[in-house]
Amino acid sequence: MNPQAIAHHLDDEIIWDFVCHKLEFGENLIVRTHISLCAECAKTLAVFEAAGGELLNDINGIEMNDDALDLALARIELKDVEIPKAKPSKSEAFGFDLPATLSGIEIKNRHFLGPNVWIAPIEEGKNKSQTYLLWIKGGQDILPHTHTKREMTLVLSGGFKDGDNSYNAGDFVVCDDSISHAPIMLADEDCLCLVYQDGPIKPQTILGHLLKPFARI
Amino acid sequence: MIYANVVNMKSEEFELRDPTKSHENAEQLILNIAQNNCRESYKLLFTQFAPKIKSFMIGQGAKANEAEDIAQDAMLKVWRKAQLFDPKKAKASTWIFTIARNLQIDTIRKQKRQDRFNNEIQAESYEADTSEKMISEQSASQVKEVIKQLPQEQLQVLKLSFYEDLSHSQIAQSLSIPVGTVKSRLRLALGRLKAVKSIFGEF
Repeated sequence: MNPQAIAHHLDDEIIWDFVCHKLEFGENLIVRTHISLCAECAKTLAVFEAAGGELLNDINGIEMNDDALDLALARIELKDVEIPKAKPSKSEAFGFDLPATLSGIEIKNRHFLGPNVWIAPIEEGKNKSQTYLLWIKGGQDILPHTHTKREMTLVLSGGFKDGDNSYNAGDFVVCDDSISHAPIMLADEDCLCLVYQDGPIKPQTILGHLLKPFARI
Repeated sequence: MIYANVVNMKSEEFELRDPTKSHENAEQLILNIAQNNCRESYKLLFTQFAPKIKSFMIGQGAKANEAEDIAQDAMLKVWRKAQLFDPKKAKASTWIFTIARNLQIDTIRKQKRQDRFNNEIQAESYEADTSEKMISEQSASQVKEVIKQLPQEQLQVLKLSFYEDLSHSQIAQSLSIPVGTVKSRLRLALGRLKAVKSIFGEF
């Protein structure tokens, strides 16, 4: 992947929420992965973390327990017996090597969503939010659909066109329920995305269901 | 240039404390620990930062005893990882903050019994956070300057979103302003911070 080719970045607010530790597990995973691939967003994160450091410095402390300093001084005399963790093995899904930020993540068995569309769930979180890997065969049409309140997608491999925009490996896109679209997958390359959505999966909208008999799905 | 506007906007109520004035220079203290296992330096550093970490964690919704534990653990990690600290790459407060925040993620995750999601991810990010993606001293002092010059209303929203475990709509409620205003103030503040990046380009 060419980091320079990343065209669609994280919003400032999302990076700030990451710094402030306000993201759900799946969102956190997507943000962390994008940042590991994108020098531009990594710089923004560095600036925001520096701001976090300044704000921490400015905070009025709350007194520690009376024996806190004694305890701290005793603890540093203890040998660091932390057992070094084994480096997590590289994760793989649908034949793709996944980025290091996804190493060791538990990926559940894939299941069929529609012809040439498979998903491999990672986590079901609060309010039935879903984090999963989505695989779509190159050239597969996607029916028009809307989204849950908030949906984040990170392209890991392949790509798609959506209106005038092209999304390729490394690109990040966030959608909400106001957006209805029908992405067109690249013809010659299978596409793998990491997706978070803040509600249950609705593979097709009512419109999609109505079109089903006509669309070979 | 955006930054020129920023410096002209004075905010008098807010002043960041300069640790070099009231305390020993925190960066030097960490270096002393790295070089000589200097316990005196650790005492000073602990006294300076542990209460701040505790306060931050309580703001994030931790109970007092949990916040105390996170502060203890974070400072222990500072002692053990002091060799990894590079003052050219990060200010002490930023480095300590990322350590504390990652510990907080670990702790909260353990509480939620979510550790099936592999603690290694955190370990790895910890190393990444503390080695490479930090900004230069020069950029860091610019960040400080931008915060100092933020209009009060933007600073207020930035601080609330950072210190307190509040959503945008909760911040809106507590300030009696529309959610849209919270979002736009935060966006403006973040845009000004981000301008540091474009001024200096490379860190």
